[in-house]
Amino acid sequence: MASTLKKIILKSCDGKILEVEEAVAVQSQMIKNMIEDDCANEEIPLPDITGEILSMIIEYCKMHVDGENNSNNELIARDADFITRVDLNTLYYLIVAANFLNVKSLLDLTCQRVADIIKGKSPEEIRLTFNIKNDFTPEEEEEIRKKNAWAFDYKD
Amino acid sequence: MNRRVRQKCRPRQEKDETKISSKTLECGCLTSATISGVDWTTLPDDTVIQLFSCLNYRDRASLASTCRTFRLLGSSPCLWGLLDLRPHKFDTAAAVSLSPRCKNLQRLKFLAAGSADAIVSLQARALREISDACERIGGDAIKALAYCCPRLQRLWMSGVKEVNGDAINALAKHCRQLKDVGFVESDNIDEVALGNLNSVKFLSVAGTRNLKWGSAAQIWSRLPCLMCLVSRTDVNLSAVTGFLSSSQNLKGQLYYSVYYELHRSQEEVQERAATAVATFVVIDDEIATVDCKRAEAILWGDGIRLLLNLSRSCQEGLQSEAAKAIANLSIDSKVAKVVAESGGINILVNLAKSMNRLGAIAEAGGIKALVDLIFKWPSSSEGLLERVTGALANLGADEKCSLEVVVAGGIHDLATRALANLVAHGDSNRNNASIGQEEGALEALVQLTCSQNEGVRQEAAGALWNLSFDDKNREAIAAAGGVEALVALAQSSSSVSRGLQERVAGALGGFIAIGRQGGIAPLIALARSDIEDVHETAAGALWNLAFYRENALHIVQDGGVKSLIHRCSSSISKMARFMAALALVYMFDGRKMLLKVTFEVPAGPSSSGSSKTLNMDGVGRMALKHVEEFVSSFYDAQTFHTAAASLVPTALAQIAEAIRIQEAGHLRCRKAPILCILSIKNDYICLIFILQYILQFTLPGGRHALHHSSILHSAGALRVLRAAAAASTATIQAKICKNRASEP
Repeated sequence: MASTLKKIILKSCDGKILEVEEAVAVQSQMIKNMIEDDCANEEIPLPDITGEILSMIIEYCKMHVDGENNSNNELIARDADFITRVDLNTLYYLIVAANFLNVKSLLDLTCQRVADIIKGKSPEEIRLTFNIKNDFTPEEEEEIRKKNAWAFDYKD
Repeated sequence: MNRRVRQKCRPRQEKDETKISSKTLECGCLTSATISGVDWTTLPDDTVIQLFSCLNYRDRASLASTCRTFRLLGSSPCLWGLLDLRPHKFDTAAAVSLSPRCKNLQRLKFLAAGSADAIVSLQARALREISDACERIGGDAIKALAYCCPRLQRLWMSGVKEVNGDAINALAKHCRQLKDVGFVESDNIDEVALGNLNSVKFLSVAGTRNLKWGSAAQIWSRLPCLMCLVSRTDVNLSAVTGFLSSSQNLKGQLYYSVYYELHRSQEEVQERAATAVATFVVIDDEIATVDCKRAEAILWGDGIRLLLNLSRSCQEGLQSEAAKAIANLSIDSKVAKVVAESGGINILVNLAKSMNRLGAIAEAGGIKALVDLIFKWPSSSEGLLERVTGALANLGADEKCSLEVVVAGGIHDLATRALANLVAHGDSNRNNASIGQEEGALEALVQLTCSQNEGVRQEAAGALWNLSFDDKNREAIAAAGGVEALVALAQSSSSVSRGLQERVAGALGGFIAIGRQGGIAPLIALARSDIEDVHETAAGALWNLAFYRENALHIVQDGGVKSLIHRCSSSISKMARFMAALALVYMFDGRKMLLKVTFEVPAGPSSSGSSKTLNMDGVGRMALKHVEEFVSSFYDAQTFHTAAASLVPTALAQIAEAIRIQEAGHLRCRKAPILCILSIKNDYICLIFILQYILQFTLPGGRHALHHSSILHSAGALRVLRAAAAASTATIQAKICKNRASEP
């Protein structure tokens, strides 16, 4: 079919230009909308996405388009393989980009990965892992601790 | 159109954009690994909310406690539409702290609230659904509920003692949208008052006792909206027929037995039926007693097959309930067998695989069932055990797929622990072999070593450690990439718990290939640890490895000799000192020429003074000097000679006691190292060392004493001992040892 051969041209914030098959590009709901609105005939500038992150996202989308006929488990295994190779900083940029491009499955995957990293950690450990500044006063912290005490109170 | 809507409020959006763009400006196209300090609080709000929704309440609380941004987002009303407090304690204090978040609460699930006040304190006026299982809830609480939750549509309670007319009338008066009412497994219900619930479409009194069916059938048949009535047990046929004939709207849908509900096509009803089965069989929730008669009744009624079919459904709630029912039923051994035989395990495993986080309970149930199955037939001859371990192993593998195994990791923990337990009990190697042979089991364990959850990693490493004693398993683990995984684990283990460190060290010790894979250095690092258990095991692992020339070289290159000497002379643990000494002796033993270093006894009488080939000689000498010090630290020359002269049993026993290292009894030593130690050059200090070695490993009461004795026996240890006995200095120990070694 002619339409599947159509290429979409994406431009990253650092000037990298990537040609992507339409079938791959429409994994992004944002691009899909643009195509539907006939706004995707020229290169699409992506202001907040670096070339490196963009290539990763395209790799991911390709994987999903190519893997459409594969079993669900296989795809899940590939997803896992993809996401576990990613370091924390890259993960952050992937989330931001997946959100911007609106690639739902990737957003789910990345969020789940962050959730997995958070799981079981104390607030202080989470702050350390994600480099989050504690902007609470000690009084506020105590109040939060009290308010959330129930969540730590499991049945025996 | 399902374009996601960014929910960002204005001021933060500006902040975000400036931050991100300045970041991209600064960093340009640098690889992301070099960009440091991204600000996670600038993530889009809807993404953070999605992240929160992936977490359980405890993790949500932790994340919300990190900073203001996340606290705000963590209390977004859309995260608090459903509150499932079943795993938590739910009392008034909890309810009060939850109430600000409950403005939008629509569905509430809990088990055993502390008091009726708790629900009222939630102040969840938007509440539409309540599911509860509680004995302490009484009429007053239900009345209070009716007042404070006017929009209630579904009220589902089980195990209520008494629901009086007052309470039901309050519901009828205040909750005009109440469509779905269940008082199941309850004691007393005012059936006449139930007739006032005019809005009710679905009524369940399944398992409720003391119903007067005669009057109930008559009154309920006049309920204008009633579509479906679920009852069970003691309803009699005449009441049913009477009911059917007089009811206007009830279109023949009266079920007096749960099985019939399971047949129904409507999923919601099936789900409830499955719930009913799950609760039906359990008499006492706390100790999970199952009524065998009930379970068997379900068995004969073909209920298992139905449940298994249901658990294949694509609807999550239904899967979840079905799995729970199967899990509960599996407590009964007859039923469990049927579950296993009719392919239930595979279904459960698939279920656990495909389950997203909504089905977490099902997963817990499923795994619990599997674990139960394991403990039911530890000696099953039908291959069941193999199938179950395989299933568990698959479950374990699941995490690598980073699937929606959202629950706190406890589930994997459970599965791994089950595996580890199986392994640990397998002294006879029967279980070990079955795990090792089960396709995928080892792979799963190996993959589990990469788990996010430290407990899981720990159990997995422990299981691998245990398994590595079996030669075949060891090969299989190595083939499954276990060596790399363990090395990786060891390299990242500086900040983890001592339990994990210990297990990693232990597991690594089994694999001679780790030298090539860079595993020695982390092991040496572990040997430097201040924690006794850790450095003890690490020293033991090094000892195991030092037997092989290549590894010995690695140990020398990576600075392990110094660490071992340090351990040998300074550890608080006798055991660690012993292990370190053994490792050193292996490395610098002259006869084996492992490192082409001559073993020369510093002050020994029979110093051979043969070739000193390498400059490592000095290191070796130093090492052995420490070994000698270590060995002699156990002997008080005076006592020793007295005992030697007198041969009095008590004196001998004293010496044996002095040498004895309690923990050595747990060690298990392979054949090759034992043979190696026996062939060490025969001179004074070494002899003592050999003797001590044999003694440590064959002391009665040690777990592997028999194993070692038989190896020693077959290796001709007696011959060596006889030779030793001839030597004047070592008579006593030789005699002691001879006894031990000849025991089998």
